[in-house]
Amino acid sequence: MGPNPQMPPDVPERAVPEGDFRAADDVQDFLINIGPHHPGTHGVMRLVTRLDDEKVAGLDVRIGYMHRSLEKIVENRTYPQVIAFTDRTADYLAAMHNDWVYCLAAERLLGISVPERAEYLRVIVTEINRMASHLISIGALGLDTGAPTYFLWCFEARERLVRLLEEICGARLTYVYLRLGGVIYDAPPGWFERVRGALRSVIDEFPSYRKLFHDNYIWHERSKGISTLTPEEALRIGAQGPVLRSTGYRWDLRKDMPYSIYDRFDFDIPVGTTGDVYDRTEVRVDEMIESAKIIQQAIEDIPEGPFLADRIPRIPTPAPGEAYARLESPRGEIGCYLVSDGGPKPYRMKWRGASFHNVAMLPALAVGYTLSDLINIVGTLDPVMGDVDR
Amino acid sequence: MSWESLLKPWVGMARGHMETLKQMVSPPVTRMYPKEPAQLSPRWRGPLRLRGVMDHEPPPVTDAEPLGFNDLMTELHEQRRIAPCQGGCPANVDARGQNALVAAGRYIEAYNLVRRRNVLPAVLGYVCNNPCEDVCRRSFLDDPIAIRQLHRDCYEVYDREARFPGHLENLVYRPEHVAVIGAGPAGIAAAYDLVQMGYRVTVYERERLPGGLLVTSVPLYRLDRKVVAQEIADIAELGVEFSFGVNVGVDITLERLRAEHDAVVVAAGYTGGRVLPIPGHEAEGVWSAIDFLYAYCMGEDPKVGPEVVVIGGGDVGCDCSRSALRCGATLSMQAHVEDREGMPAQEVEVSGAIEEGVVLLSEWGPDEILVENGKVAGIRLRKVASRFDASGKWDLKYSDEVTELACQSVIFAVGQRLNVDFLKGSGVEFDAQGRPLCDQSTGATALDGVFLAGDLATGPRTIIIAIGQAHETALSVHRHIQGLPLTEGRRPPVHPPEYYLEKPYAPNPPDFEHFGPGGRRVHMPESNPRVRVRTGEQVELGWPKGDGHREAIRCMRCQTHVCVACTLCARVCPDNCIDVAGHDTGFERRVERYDFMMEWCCFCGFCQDVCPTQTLSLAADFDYAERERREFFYDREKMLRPFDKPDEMPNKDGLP
Repeated sequence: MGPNPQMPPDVPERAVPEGDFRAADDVQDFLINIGPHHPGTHGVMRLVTRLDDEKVAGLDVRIGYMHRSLEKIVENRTYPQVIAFTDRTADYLAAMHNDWVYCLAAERLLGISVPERAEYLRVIVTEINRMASHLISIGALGLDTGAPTYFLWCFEARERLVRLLEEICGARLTYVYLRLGGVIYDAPPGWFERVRGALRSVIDEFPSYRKLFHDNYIWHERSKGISTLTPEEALRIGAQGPVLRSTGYRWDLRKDMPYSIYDRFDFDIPVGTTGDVYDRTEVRVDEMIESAKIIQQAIEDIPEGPFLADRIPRIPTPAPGEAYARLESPRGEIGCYLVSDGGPKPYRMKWRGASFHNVAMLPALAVGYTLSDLINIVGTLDPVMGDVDR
Repeated sequence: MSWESLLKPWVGMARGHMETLKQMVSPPVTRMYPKEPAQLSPRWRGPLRLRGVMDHEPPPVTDAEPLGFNDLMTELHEQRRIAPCQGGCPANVDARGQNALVAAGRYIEAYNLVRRRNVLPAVLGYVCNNPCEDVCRRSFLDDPIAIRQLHRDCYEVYDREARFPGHLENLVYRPEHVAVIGAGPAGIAAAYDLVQMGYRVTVYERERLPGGLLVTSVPLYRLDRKVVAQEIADIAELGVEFSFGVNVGVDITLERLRAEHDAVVVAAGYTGGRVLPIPGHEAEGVWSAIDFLYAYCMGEDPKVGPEVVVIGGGDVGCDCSRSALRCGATLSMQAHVEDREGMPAQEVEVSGAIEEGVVLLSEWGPDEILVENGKVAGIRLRKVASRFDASGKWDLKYSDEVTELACQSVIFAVGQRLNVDFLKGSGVEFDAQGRPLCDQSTGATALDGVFLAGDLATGPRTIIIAIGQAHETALSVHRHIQGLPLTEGRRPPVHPPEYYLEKPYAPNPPDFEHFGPGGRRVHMPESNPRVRVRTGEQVELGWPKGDGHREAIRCMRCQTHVCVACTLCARVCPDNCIDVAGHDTGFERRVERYDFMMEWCCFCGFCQDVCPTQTLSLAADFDYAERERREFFYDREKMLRPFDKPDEMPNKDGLP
């Protein structure tokens, strides 16, 4: 095979020139390849790193090891069937959020209105899922910094929350719980009381977490002042979600562009000050407490009534058009763009995953810090590689 | 060697013991987790399983004698095992059993089965408003089963091949004598049930022929009078006595009926017409719908037209506007206050009227009838401004816009009036509107031994509701005569419970190849609307031989907990891991193949949600490990595997 005739001969085929990572002759830089199967990378992500002594001098993120062609699959499925794919092919640690953003877009496209009770149930399960996702995120940081006990504690707390989701929908990770026009099951008897109890037990353990990990001298040494970020710089590199909030910039779609019924709840947006690894973790812990507040209010206000809109066609065919929906997932803003050509299947779906934008920030955050800090920094970005590659 | 160095080990040891003591009294740092295995949630999503499949079994028939029917329905209802068509029917006619028997070629058995609950199957096959078809689960796939037309098809075979009256199953003869007032559908239904229970029954009818409104009000083009006569003759052969031309209250008093009989069932219906008291309503040429239809149906040839305005948008209004075209009218207009979509008439009636040339005047109400020389010369109509108030309650408001139409006849189809003066002063209680009061579930009145049946008990409703109510009244009469408590252990007739309607509709899924057995609904041929107006022939012409069979094998035979190979699960699966093949010879329906690729399953539960017979469920197997990979291929036998857990997990409907 000769050279590609359509490609001008002077343009290199790779966007990132190899020369950046080649060790210069006069300095002691060297290239090290981390991944794709490195336990600290939170997924199959490959980091081509240029090290100057122990410090990271350059970084290139290589992705695509977990591509499952979500957007193409969706073009061959009917609208209700897509829900089975969004919650496992995209961000599987926050599956409810993915289902919801798809449902928001599809319901907008189809003109379906959701009953009140279903909206509240969606809020409750989604916030529980946000807490479960954050617990994995901060627990994995313990694993990264050599504190596996903390990881197990977080996982045990998450287990209590996942049990709640298992009770309401029968699944623990890939809940296909949302449907177009509502949710598939009502809450089982006594579920709301159990939610209250589980939330209380999880929140009550936070002081002991603090004693074990967050106030630990080692963690302070490993996190404070590491990978600091200013709000201006954060906006420039496209930060969102907890990373943006940790810099002190107050931005949360639930508050600033309320979707569903989030304008009815009273809750705060926790923010940090310096945007370093420590603040990003603290923001997540505070967010869990705010999520618990939202759930408490939702349980108090939840009305009786249907939980699934009736007369939803089994194979809906929306009018030709397009719809976009976005919401705040634990990792930042996710979005779903749907185009219909009037047929029973989406003509096109575009998925905006938060993790993709998070790993794109990694070079800007990690350069200048040591190789051991790099693992922490990846951990605070909390990437789910399924959401990066889709 | 100093004292300190000698003491040092002892001090250390003491400190160690102190520390040990502290540890013993302080709460443990490690957590103890419970040793017992975690309980699975009732909604746990494990591998699929089937509760049962349809396989070489006799067709499902829900049948019981009149005395046992209520118990049977109560039991089935508690188990949530009523087929939707049967629960949707006010008289609980077993349409599924009818379809299964017709599919097996057993038309006459099907006819007799329907007659158990619907005494005039063929008549209802012409004129019923088929509530069963509204809840038919086949409409999730394409079109509902033509249950009503099948009633008629069964009758035609029965009429052609086996003219014999239905058999009397209950051979108990009881000496008590029951009087039934009115030979309409409700009266005949009550008489039929009572005669099957062994009582002597006499039906008193004002007219010279039986049938009630079936012969006096249902237009000729909708119902063949020969069918009514034949079916009622069959009832008479069972032993029901008819006494025609007896007007209770005039020819015989209620007191005398009560004295001569052990119980009296009043099924007199709403037989009076109603005319709105607007200016000019007493002019010549103003009809009430009942009077007009009576004159048309009884061959008195009412002179209307040539331009006719019918007031009212219900079924009766359509009957009047269409009948007027057959009585010499050249222009038939129907004014109604509702808009076209909100008309209370059945859609098929309205479209039939439009085909025949009826002009609909939507959202116009009557204002004044213009009279010349004591005769109707025209009508002034007023435009409707709004029909509902802000809270959605009915509140009719007219605007200032009026129009005048020239016409020679005005027919009011605005409801019916009671004609039960013989009940007044007898002890039966009446409400403020002058309607007789009775217990809604039993039909018993305040007067001992007098029961109401049909429209009198329920208010003017449909024929099948009247028949369903009459069955209840017959049971009450039996209990009254036997001295049993009327309501004990008895449930009111099962109307569609919520679980029939929970599945969303999918009209004509465009994406999938057509559903296997039967194909689309077999439509009954209709006569040419322009011709039938002149000749007066029937609208529906009946199926040619064989079409009924083609329609009946479309029935999915909704049985609870039995797979009927409807293939909905295979279509809804996002991973294409289910393959179902049904085998339908007409005489037998079975599930030939049910293949499930367990490896591909993503446990989304879509198949469980759509399963119309509640047989497919995600079992609560937690550890689905197998020794070999091929074991993950589940065939029909493996899908029917016995369940590990002693108490089966309920699915989302809470079914056992």
